[in-house]
Amino acid sequence: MNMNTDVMLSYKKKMYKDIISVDAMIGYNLYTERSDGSAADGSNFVLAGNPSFGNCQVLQYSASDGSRYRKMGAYGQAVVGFKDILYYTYTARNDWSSMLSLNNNSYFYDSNSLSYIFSRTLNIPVITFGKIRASYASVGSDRGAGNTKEIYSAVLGNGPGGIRFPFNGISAFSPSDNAANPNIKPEISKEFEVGLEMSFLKSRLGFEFAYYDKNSRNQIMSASLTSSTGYSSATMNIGEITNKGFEVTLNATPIKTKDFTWNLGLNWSTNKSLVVKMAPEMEVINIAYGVEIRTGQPVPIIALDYYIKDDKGLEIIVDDPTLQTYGYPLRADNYKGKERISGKVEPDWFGGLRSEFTYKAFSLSAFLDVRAGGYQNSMTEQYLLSGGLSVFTANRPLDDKIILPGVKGHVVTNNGIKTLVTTEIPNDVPVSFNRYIASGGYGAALFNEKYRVQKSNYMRLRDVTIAYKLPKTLLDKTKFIKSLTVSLTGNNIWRKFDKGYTGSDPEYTNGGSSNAQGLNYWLLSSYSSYTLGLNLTF
Amino acid sequence: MKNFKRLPITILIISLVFCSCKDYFDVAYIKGSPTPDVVKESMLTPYLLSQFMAENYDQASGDYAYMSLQRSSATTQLFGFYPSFLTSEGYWGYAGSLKSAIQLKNIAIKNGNPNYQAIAELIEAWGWATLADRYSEVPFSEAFSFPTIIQPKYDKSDVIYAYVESLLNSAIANLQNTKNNVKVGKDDLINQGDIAKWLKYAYSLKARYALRIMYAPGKTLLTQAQTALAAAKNGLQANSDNVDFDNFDADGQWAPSYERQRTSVYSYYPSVFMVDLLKTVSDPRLPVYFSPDYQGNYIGAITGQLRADADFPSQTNRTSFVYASMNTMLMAATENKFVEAEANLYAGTLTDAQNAYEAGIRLNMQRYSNYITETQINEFIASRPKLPSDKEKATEMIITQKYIANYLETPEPQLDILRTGYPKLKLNTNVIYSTTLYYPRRLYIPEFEQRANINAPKNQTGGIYEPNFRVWWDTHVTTPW
Repeated sequence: MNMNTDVMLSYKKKMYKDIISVDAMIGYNLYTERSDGSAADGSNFVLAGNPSFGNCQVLQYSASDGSRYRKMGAYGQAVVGFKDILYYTYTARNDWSSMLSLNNNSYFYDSNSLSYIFSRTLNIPVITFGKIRASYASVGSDRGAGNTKEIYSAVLGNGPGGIRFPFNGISAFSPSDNAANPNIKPEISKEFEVGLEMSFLKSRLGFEFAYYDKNSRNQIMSASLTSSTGYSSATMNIGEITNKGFEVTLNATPIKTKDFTWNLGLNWSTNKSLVVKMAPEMEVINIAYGVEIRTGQPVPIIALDYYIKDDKGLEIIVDDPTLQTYGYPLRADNYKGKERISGKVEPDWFGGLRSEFTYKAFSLSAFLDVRAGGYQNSMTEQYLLSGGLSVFTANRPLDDKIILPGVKGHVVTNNGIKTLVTTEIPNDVPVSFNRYIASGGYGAALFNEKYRVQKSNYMRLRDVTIAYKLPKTLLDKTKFIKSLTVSLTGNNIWRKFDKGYTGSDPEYTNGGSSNAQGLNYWLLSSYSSYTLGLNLTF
Repeated sequence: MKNFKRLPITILIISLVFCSCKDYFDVAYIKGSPTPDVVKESMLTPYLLSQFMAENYDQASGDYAYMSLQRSSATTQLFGFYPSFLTSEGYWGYAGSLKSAIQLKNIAIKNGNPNYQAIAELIEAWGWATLADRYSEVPFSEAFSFPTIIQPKYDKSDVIYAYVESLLNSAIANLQNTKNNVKVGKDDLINQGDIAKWLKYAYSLKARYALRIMYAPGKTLLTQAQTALAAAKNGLQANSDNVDFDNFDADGQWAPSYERQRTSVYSYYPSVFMVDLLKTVSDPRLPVYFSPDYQGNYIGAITGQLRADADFPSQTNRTSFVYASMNTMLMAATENKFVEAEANLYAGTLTDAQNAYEAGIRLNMQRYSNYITETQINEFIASRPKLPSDKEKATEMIITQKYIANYLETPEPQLDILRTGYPKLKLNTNVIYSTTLYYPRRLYIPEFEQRANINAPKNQTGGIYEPNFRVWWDTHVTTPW
């Protein structure tokens, strides 16, 4: 149950012969959220086809949950206009939230923005509309903050060892795996944005351009912790992150006749994120399975073990017979640290092209969606490898012997300094294929970027629609139908991934749009769908 | 009219005043969940004990036990490349009973309930010792320190074992403290509030761990044996002292071992090693532990060599050994007797060792009194050679009997094999870990911990520790596989 209360007072006035306009408002907001839920599992029905709890011989409560959330805000806004050409807007708000610790639960943020509709002063005929804008805004948020107090949860349903609570009349409470963070602070983002919006030739051609530079402090994120901290995850303020980017949109109508129209829309955007600094106690934040956040890197990155290569890009195979790793590729673990990253999850750019043709009552539109330059960490591939079900293990040797491609080399340690010694002699040492794939310590292909880190590029035909609108003359006879459109839409009907991609669909990641970006862990593929539509207006 | 205009402002001011009370925002995000200031010991104990039971069971008979018990699975070896238990997060025990025990301990200390504190200390001691036994070096002094420390440093086993000993001593004192604000009651799913039983268990644990580290650097054999002997004498003596979790014959209350047999009947077979160990000496436990194959013979399985469907090997006996209402054993008096026997080899007399050894066998067989008669027990004991004065040979006999008695019940067989080398297993060339050419002596630090904690230890080549690296106390066996 949500309850939202807004009380607002507004003030409007035009002054100096309507040259100056003032539009001001102050308000107060109270938002409360309350949810309560219980669930039960019933089995052993007495009567078939009667799915009610009363009809179950075995009834077990399986969940009981709910939440409380309270947030209060005081806000104000003032817009000052000059001759409908120049506008200045100031907004300010202070929030108090129950999701933050009591000492840190109040946060203030405000914004300044200026826009100038220059087409109204320039009066150049070819320019239909022109506007330039700039803003500097801060936004505070409690988003993602969870519990500030340690809690225990009632254990309902299956507990440890498969036993079920209440057990023999005894109920149980378990500690939480997610750490309460009593020190959580609100997240404050400051963003500078400039934009230009223009259209020409009676809106036959137009574009929008925006550049933004955003700085977020105390960003609230859920981080995976090693359980030796006592918890598996925690909500934390991770530090300072910047995001800079461009967004460009082009709209054109190249052809427009009485019967035929062709509209074209193109958008392109890019974002560069950067972790400027992190909270002192953190060096690396683990999101999941090698997906991490690190200072000086985009958000997030993938860091896995890797094989050392020589200048020609050939893997170095250990040629020291006294080592357990003899005949296996030299791992970064055995040579240097993990300072290198395997790939960034963030794509370099996104693009989209929409084309729409209309001929008389027929229309055809299609949208092509492209993403390029990011990487994904495939845990699915790791599991397939370990089970021998991966495409990489398809032609495994029957006698388990394999000579791994690469050149001989090893690491010499002298006074603690490690030096790489490489040769140009091709490797000729047969080793166990099983051990190469599986063992955590030898080849360790399982934990290696070679198999797990893959490009997440895609190009897909997001949708194609063909539609026919019945002539009005035909409909007029019915007297009550105003319009009737028949359409056929295909979604996701064609797609192309990177050649080396073995997962289901790079667009899909565990955790959706949240932190666990760039991880594919047993995700199903996206599907194609077709819709036959009938749109009636009365 | 004039008053009406002021109404919104009045509401605004009133609500601002009303709502700016700090308490208004002091609501737990998750509804109805108790916080540490209101939670009681009796609310936390049932879950803790069920975790403890499940972990103990899993280590006694789960994947990890395949090595020591040489059990076979019909399916995993057919396509599995990877001994997943070696890297399993599941044995990285911080999120389990160890954490729950520490929380219960802190609450019991705050509320002045030393008996509850002692139960928590016993499970905490088990948790730390288990981590040290599996990984040797683990986060300890800086563990459980969120949010101050999120990458805890590693401590060596000697520090951890010293703490285990202090926890056990503290528990022994706290169990004898009768000044409790709240008495342990029905929420104690293991001993039903019987503090005397917990006390015996505490002594038996102390004896178990004293012997575990008898060969550790800096420890002397005699002192460890003396400590074990003194503790074992106060430990579990009779089958009525056995520490177990009470399961019941009802869905959701079954013993996990029964659940496993019930849901995957054909997945787990006793090994040829175990079946032959009993068969060759006509051990009366053979038909109690196992059921015969279709031709009425007791034949153990060899992993990776499936027999034809028509003649499946012997299985675990689902009437006498694994059944729905059986309790899940955590420690039986029989183990305490074998500890006493072994300790007597170094700190007592051979006669006392022999008596404890025989008592261990007898106590174990008496648990199956529906199937094994006293006459059979006496005949079996009489048929066994006496313990020789050669300590190594005597140890082999004691540990072999302990191995049989602990079969599927405690993780001790695996650890006894590492510590003493007995019973002498034959490496099965069909199983995957044999391709590593050694018997794993420790587990890998799990992948996630290696990534999340920069302090995770590295071996001499900068890599992670291999499972053939010995743990701290594993120094005695000279010829590992």
